[in-house]
Amino acid sequence: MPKRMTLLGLFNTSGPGRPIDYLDPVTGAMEALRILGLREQDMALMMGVPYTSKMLGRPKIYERVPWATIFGALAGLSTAILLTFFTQFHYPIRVGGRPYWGTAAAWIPIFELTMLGLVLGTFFNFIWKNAFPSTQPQIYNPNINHGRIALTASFDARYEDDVRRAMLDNGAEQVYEPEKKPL
Amino acid sequence: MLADAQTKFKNLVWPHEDDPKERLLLDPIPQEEMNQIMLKPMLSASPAYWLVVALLAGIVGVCLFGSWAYMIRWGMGVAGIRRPVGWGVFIATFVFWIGISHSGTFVSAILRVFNAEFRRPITRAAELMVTFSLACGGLFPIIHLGRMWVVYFMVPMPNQRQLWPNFQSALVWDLLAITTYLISSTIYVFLPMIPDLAMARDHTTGWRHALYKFTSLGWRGTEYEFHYLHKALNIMAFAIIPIMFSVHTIVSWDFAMTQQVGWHSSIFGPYFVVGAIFSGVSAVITVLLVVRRTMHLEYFLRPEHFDALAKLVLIFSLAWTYFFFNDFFVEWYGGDWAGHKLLNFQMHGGLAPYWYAMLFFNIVVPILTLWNKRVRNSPIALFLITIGINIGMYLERLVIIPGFLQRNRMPFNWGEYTPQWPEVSIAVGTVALFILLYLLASKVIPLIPVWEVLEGQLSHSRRRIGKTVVTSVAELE
Repeated sequence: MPKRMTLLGLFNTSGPGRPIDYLDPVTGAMEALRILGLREQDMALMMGVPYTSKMLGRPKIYERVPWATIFGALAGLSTAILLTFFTQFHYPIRVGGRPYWGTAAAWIPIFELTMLGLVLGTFFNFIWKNAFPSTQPQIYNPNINHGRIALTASFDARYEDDVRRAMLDNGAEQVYEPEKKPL
Repeated sequence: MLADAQTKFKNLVWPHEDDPKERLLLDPIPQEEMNQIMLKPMLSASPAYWLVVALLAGIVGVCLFGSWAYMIRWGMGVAGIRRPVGWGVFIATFVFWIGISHSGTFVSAILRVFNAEFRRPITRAAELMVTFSLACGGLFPIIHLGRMWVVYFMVPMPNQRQLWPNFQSALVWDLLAITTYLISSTIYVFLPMIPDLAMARDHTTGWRHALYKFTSLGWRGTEYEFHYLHKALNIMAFAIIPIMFSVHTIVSWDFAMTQQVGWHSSIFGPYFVVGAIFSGVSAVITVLLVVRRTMHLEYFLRPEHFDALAKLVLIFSLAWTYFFFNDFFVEWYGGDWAGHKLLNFQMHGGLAPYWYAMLFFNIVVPILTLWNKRVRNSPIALFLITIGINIGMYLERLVIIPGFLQRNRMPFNWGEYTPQWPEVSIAVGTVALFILLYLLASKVIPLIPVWEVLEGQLSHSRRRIGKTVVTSVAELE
């Protein structure tokens, strides 16, 4: 099994006239790496500005409906139905002129708890998909908050010189083998 | 002659109405410079700041918690609530704070859904208002219980006596709605804060670094992280809007579901929602003016933002006027004798000073002033107008809640309400608590979402069309 290694290249996004939208160096580097045979999943980017996948020339990230959001909403709905109807069955509260099971009145707790479940599901989906909180040492360069974009490439160590040259030829300010460090 | 005319107009460029650099999204500066503008006021505090914090903490300690403790010791009788006025300043202040909480959701979620780009630098400051105003407002149901140690009765959990809350009660709906809104808005303020917390993590040391490292959850700014963040924010923005509408509608149903004269009205739901957004957006302007001045955030918070918010305030003033007139006119035209007694009480009786002051601050002042661009661009004028609006909206709640309770269908049961010092003291204490929480948060939480401003600057550019140069906004997603 050939030994794999990772290189990190730091690119400046400041260009003629504008401070943050000069992506030609990093997109050029990625193109050069694709020519060398690196796959999309072998490359990763870290940035302080949310550039879109189209801007970066990367494949669009598709995601079907976030299931955790739907499950959260269903959990909230179930909880609400349980509370509004079951509690009355378990210990009826007789309020003069009111039915035991008022469907119209039940809609309010059903709506609120369904929405709460939806929101919590969305939040947990975000946490889960990103594997947060991440306490393990990570590859990172804080210069992404200084108008830089970091490109990491993972490849067969035999091609280190080619990958390094591809990044440097396309304007990388720095290319180095990163260490995983606590953030 | 034709050649002369052609030469004269050939190079004519239509004069710009404004300098593009006056607009934040057309005035990009290096990212690190933006970070420093944001971080500098966060990481330092003047002696004046600590003096104000100490003063506010003292007011909170004495006025809020001290008065509350006094009331627990001596009973609810020390408050002014008597038959027939069972709900007074406490409930009016509770409704006021819930109304203020609509500010953040409107500015952040609704404007995000409609791609209103001017929202970018102001969303977080507005969203923080939601959390803190809900925290202040949420105290009042507990305060109003008197015996606050039985507050757990409201929580639906199995117990020995097999008692459950009545889910057909408007008060239980209130508990569910406010809890849902508090949790949702806290998540909605936290999610977009993560990249800025990561930026702060990379720029700080010591306890701040540890705090930001914990709260940024290990954010590194990868493509996937931003993708999932955008996805979550889009869902949250759409979800939190109906929650926002439902909260104040349900609060209004605390009154509208009763048979009390003046309360039992089907207009109360939208009337309260519009009033909440009206007072909330006004409060956002007030807070942002202070933040801009004290934290030197003039780069981020520009006249264009206050101009846009002031136009929204004018629109909501007109909307509130419509709903107020609707409520008033139906009662007046309907001819119900008890309703007429109440209207008379408002226009000519004991409520008259508050009623006319409410109309002055909510209708006369905004409509006569905010149409004027010079007023909208004047920080002092905007500050005074928005404070006036919130005074007017507080008076509205006072008029509707304890005011209307003084008159009912049994004249022998009419009463007069006079707030006592514990009520006033606690209400003042919550105002101090809100300001104190905001001041403390301003030193820990980045108030401007720098990454969202950068995203907006990425999408804005200038291009020539014909004889002029126009601003062009690209769709990034």
